[in-house]
Amino acid sequence: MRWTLRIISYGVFVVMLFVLVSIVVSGVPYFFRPGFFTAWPQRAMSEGGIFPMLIGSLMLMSLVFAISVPVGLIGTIFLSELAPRRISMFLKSLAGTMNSVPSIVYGVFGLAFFSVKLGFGTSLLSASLALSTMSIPFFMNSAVEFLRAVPKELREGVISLGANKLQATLMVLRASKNGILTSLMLTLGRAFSETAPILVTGAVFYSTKLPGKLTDPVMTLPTSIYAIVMNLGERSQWMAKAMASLMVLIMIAVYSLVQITRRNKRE
Amino acid sequence: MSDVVFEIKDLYAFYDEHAALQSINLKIWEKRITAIMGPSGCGKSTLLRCLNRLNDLIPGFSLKGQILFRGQDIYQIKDLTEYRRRVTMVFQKPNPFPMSIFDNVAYGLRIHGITKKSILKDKVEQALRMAALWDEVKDKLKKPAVQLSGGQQQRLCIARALAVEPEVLLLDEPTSALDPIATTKIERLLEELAQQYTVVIVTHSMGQALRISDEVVFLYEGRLIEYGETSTIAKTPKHEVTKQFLTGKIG
Amino acid sequence: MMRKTVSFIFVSLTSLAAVIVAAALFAIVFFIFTESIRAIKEVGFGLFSPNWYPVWETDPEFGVGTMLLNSLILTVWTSVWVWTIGLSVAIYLHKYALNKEREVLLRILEYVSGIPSVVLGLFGVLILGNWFLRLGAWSAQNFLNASIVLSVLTLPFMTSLTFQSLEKVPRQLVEGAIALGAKDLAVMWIELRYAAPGIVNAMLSVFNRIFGETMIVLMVAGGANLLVRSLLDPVRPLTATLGSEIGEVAVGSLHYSALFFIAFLVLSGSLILNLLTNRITRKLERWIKG
Ligand SMILES: Nc1ncnc2c1ncn2[C@@H]1O[C@H](COP(=O)(O)OP(=O)(O)O)[C@@H](O)[C@H]1O
Ligand SMILES: [Mg+2]
Repeated sequence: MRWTLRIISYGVFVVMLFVLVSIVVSGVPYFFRPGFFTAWPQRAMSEGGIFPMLIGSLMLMSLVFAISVPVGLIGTIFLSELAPRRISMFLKSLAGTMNSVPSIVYGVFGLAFFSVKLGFGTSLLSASLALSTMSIPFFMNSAVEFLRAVPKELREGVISLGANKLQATLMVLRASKNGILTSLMLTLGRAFSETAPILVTGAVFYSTKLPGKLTDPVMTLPTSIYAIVMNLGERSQWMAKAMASLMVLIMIAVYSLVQITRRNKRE
Repeated sequence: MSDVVFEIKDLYAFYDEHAALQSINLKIWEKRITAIMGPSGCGKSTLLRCLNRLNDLIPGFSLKGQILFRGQDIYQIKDLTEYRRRVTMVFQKPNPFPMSIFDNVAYGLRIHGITKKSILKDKVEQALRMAALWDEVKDKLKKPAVQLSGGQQQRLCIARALAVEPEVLLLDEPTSALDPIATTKIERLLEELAQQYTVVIVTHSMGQALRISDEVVFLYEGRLIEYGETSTIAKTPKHEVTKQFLTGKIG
Repeated sequence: MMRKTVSFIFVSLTSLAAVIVAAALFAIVFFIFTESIRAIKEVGFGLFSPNWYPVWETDPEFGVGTMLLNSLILTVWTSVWVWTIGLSVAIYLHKYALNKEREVLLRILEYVSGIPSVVLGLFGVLILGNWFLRLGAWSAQNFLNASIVLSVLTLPFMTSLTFQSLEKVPRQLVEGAIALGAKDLAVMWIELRYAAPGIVNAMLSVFNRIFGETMIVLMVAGGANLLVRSLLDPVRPLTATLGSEIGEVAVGSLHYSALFFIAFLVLSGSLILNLLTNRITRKLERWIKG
């Protein structure tokens, strides 16, 4: 029993390590090509750099951040601090349900609603709205646990000094700020690594300029990986590998940051 | 005799259907220490929390009867935040806010609109002195409050409450989580404070009630079974349950 | 007065945010359904026929039957592997692993769970795909390849969730069983019983994630709309079709509507599964919490 399980576990370990290392290692050497981070791709992505994809992903993340953090945080506060018990439970299960909806569905919804119905077209705006629709419940689901973990004594302590709801809420947020930060990082990390929703609503395979306004289409890291792997030949694959490696390294950094934040809290 | 601060008339309190308090009639006098006693679950905390309407936060809580604060029905009060400043509360478990020692004490002042640095400084010092904590923390006011010991944290919470210049201090078993030395310190402090403030304290230690209180209220299964001057009741308890309490059979 | 107004604005703002979130789910269901009405009306039961020839000039066909079956087969097959392996690893971590082993393995799993699915797709195509060709498979992208990559995607999730549920089993319970003279396996059984809600939740979530995963099947499964007969056949699950065609189709066409019908199927699948998960876990929890 013990040995069977141990062998399986070690097998899993080896496979996982192999996946991780082979992805990272196969891409890192290309980081040092001149202009890799600062140049535009050339000759069907067989030369040049990933500048526009990098900026595109960054722009998308900033928009998702700007949309989903305020809405998500405010929604979470309502959920945990203000709503009557029934409504709070209902909303919580709603957010849980939305969390289990596959990301392609958010893409298809974004296409029908933001791109077509509201006329935003294939654009940075549509993509960030579709991603935010997905990110908000994800954020709420995770953040609400941290708000709920704040002891009731703290809330009552603030109230009995004569604070109003808003002031009491600010205190709860202060007490759970590490947790909220964790949720925030995980949410952005997830939005950063999603491909399907952007593929459908905002991404173009190749564009000659950066998005100048919200309704311009955008090139991003994940969609470009997809496009290169599926459509271009061997001569372009290095760029996909390099971007894949970069994305994995960024995600590892995010998870490490989360770990550090959690540890800080425990002290 | 001094003035009546609280007059409780035929009070019933319910959590959903469950009646936690039944037909309570009671007066609480100014500048005295009133102890609320009784076995665990008899409704002490509920009664105390009624006095500054903290139970309003609990879904399903309701109440019948009247509580008058200096003659005014507290359920008619519009400005609850101001009322809670005047009648403030300290809890069983010390609950320092996640900020510095100074900011903890200043918190109540700030939310009531005092922001001037020099005034804040004075008032914080004054409150900490009153709570007999100043000497211990004066060099680390900028440190996180959670680094204090349990007893210090509880005195900090008292200082925080005193800083808003309340008239009534409600305390729910403030020493039950503390060691004997810290307990003694807080009991001394309360005796000091009773010269200026009205103090209502929940305790289930008979010894503590005898040591510090002027009046004592006995609750049993949600009903008031006896109340009056502590010294009188200690000598001649009328009710059977009180007697058992005094001799340590319940408690 | 100022403070009253601030308080009021605060409460209404937060309620508004909550309403937006609640409305979003209903909007999603509503839009996806209304866009698929045309296909439901015009194609009817033909939607479940096996053939999908959406751009045939004369007589296009919009049957999702084969894709649906392939999706289900791929999901069930992969899930069973992930469940078994994930459970085994979690039990090992919980019962036998040294602290160091546990830490390292959990850390690695966490990092792997952060790998974007498109990157795993790349891994499947460029690395696993090559191996398959060298081993003599006639298509680099195939059922087995997709299944392996999907396992890598979901194993970390399955393992860590199961492990966490096992860790939550109270010590007294285990010690009580040991005190009664229970053997290893019997003790394990009790722990599994106690952790059952969490484990079942993990299992169904894994199923849901595999069923709805798009990028990996789009890149790695191979894209042939034929019912899978061997592990090395290329296949095309529902989400692969959706992901590859929705970007290029004319808005408002019958093809567009049929794709929304696929999205509707995927969405319904996950909603039903979610409902089921909640039901079952609640029922199982009753055994624990009384
Ligand atoms: N938040 C609550 N919800 C429901 N019932 C409660 C709540 N708080 C207290 N009770 C019930 O009210 C009764 C009195 O409780 P409490 O006032 O806390 O007693 P004490 O402080 O004397 O131990 C108990 O039976 C308790 O179960
Ligand atoms: Mg109590």
